[in-house]
This record gives sequence, structure tokens and C-alpha cells, in this order.
Amino acid sequence: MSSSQHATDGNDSSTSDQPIHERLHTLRSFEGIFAAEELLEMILSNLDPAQLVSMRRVSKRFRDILEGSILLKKKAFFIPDETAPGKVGHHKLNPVLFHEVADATELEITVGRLTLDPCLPRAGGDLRGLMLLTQKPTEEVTVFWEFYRHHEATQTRKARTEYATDKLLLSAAGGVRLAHVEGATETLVERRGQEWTLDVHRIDVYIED
Amino acid sequence: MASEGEQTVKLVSSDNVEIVTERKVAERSMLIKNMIEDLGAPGEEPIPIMNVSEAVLRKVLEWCTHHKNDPAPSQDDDADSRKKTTDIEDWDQKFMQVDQEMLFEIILAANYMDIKALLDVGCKTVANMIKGKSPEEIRKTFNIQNDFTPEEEDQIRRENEWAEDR
Repeated sequence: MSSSQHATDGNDSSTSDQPIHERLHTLRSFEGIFAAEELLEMILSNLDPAQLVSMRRVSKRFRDILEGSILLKKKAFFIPDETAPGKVGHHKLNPVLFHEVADATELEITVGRLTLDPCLPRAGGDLRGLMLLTQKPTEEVTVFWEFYRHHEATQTRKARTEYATDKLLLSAAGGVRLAHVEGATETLVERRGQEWTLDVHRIDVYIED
Repeated sequence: MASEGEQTVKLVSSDNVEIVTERKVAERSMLIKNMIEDLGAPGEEPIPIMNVSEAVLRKVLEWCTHHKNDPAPSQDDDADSRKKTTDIEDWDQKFMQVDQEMLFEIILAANYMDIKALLDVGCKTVANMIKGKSPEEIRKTFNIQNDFTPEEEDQIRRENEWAEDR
């Protein structure tokens, strides 16, 4: 840690009647904080993944730190953090991708429901595909997709909706990421054919400990 | 000679003001603790705190006094503090109600003086000021210059759309 990050001079205690000096001093303490990458990292590591991504737009300094810091990339679910607390039955789900649908602590399982549509194309540079589903990372997850199709009324039957569930075990060394789920989704949608519609609000992920 | 609990130490701020404080209070700072161990005779030789002015040093010592009996940080302290997101205890929250300048000075001092718990509280306080704010609001709050060209900013804005539009 460098000692030059903190520049003060001998008049600090008498700044109240010296507005110009005070302003200068403020500038210095700002620069002190923002120049010390470790401090800025420490501050930012308290924020949630979406805000960490959004803050890339504040300034070049912020962008560079957010894109370069291993600690912050772990906090933003981009690189595996093996030291993240993962008590039994409770992996921390990526809040950008999921909400938790069941408190299944007793079953030693974490259940999350996808909050975004994996079939929608995303803007270039949207990095969510690279995000890990959980932290610490899970190398194996079971995903459930729900499909439905309509049957028109016939002479012998009323109109009805038929449901079907597909289930797949996804595994990836280093942790399952959104892109894996998206790839599997694409395959399943294709296999089911046009008759079936995927219910994008019912894609659930089961993670066993 | 007083017993160890009542021992005092002399600290000297960057602006050359001498402050006498309880050894136990001062030793919340690992920098001071190590210096005392190196010097061997606490109380006699003044300890220079070169990067911290009197006003800030007094404020830091106020925190150290309140927290002088806190248990020493344990090995798994790191893992513990992760779980607690941005919770700050009431006394610390009040303590941190200072102007931005002082808040930053406290963080820098805690970093320099190696007072991990105070550094942590300071960082969380700043994080709470950032939480939920847009990039524009953050720039305004901390007086940060937007140094992107309009094209660069547009590009990031497009990439970030999902994260900002929440």
C-alpha cells in the first residue's frame, strides 16, 4: 500500500475559515480514495452485480477497475469465487438471473427461477451469458423447462392445453453459466418443434449441495 | 509505572499536535501496536502518525475508544464480514454521519493506521451512498468527471441497458 495516497499538509485543523483551502483539501481526499485501487475495490465490493455492471459508465477509472479487478468480477458472478460462503442447502443464486422460489434448506437444495427470457437475443456486449448461476460456482445443475400446446375443440373433446416438462442435467467445469442454460433451451425448443411453446416464466434450476 | 491497562501513549499528528491516549485504545491500530512493540517503552517516546491530521486522528481515536473492548478479529473474520452485506451497527452509523471530506479522511486514516474494522465500516458507508444511484447521480455525488466521449458512453450504455434499467 503506498503512502502517497494520502496527501495532507499542516493546516488541516484550521480549514473552517479557509474555504479555498478546504475545497482543495476535499479534492485531495477524493483523489486519495480513488487513486487507491484497493480502497475503491473494497467500497465497490459491497454492491450487487447489476450495479457493478452499471457503474462501468461512471468514468474510465471506474470502468477499468470494474473490468480489471478479480475481486469485483467474483462479486459480479463473472469468475468463480471458491471462498464465497455456501452453507449447506444454500448456494447464493445470481440475483441478476434468478429469484429464489423455494426455501429448501432442509432438502439441501437451492431452487431458483430464471427471471429473464433465455430465448430473447441480447445486445452485443451484454455479458449476462457469461455470468455464473451461483457463487460459489456449481458444476452441476438440474434445469426444468415447461412447455405447453393448445388443442382446439373437436367433436369429441373440449379445447384444452397440454403441458410437458423437460429436464436436463447441465454440467460444466468451473461452474454452470447462463450461456449453458441458453444453449440447452435452444436445443429443447428446437426438438419440441413449433407446436409447443416454452413457458419462459417457468424455467427452474435445482442445485443440490 | 502504571499497569498495562492504564498505560498511555503519545501520538503526534501530521500537523504536529501531540495527543495522549490509552494504550489499549491506540492499539486498535495495528500500525501503532506494531510500533509500540518495536519501540519497547510505550508512553515515553511520541509515536508519529505521519499521514493523519489532528482532526482526523481525534475522530479515529473516538472510534477506537468506543470499540476498545471489541474482541480481536478472528481468522475467519473475512468470511463473516461477507455475509453481513452492508449492515452497520447504530453507533458506527452515527459516528459516520460526517461530511464527505471527513468520511474519506477516516477511510484513508483507517487504511494507513491498519484498523480493519473501521476501514470496513467506512467502505460500507460509502457503498450505501452509491447503492441504487445511476451513473449520473454517482458522478454528481462524488464530483467525478465523465471522461468518456459521447460515442464511448453510448456504447457502454447499450451494453449496460439491462443493468441500468431495473
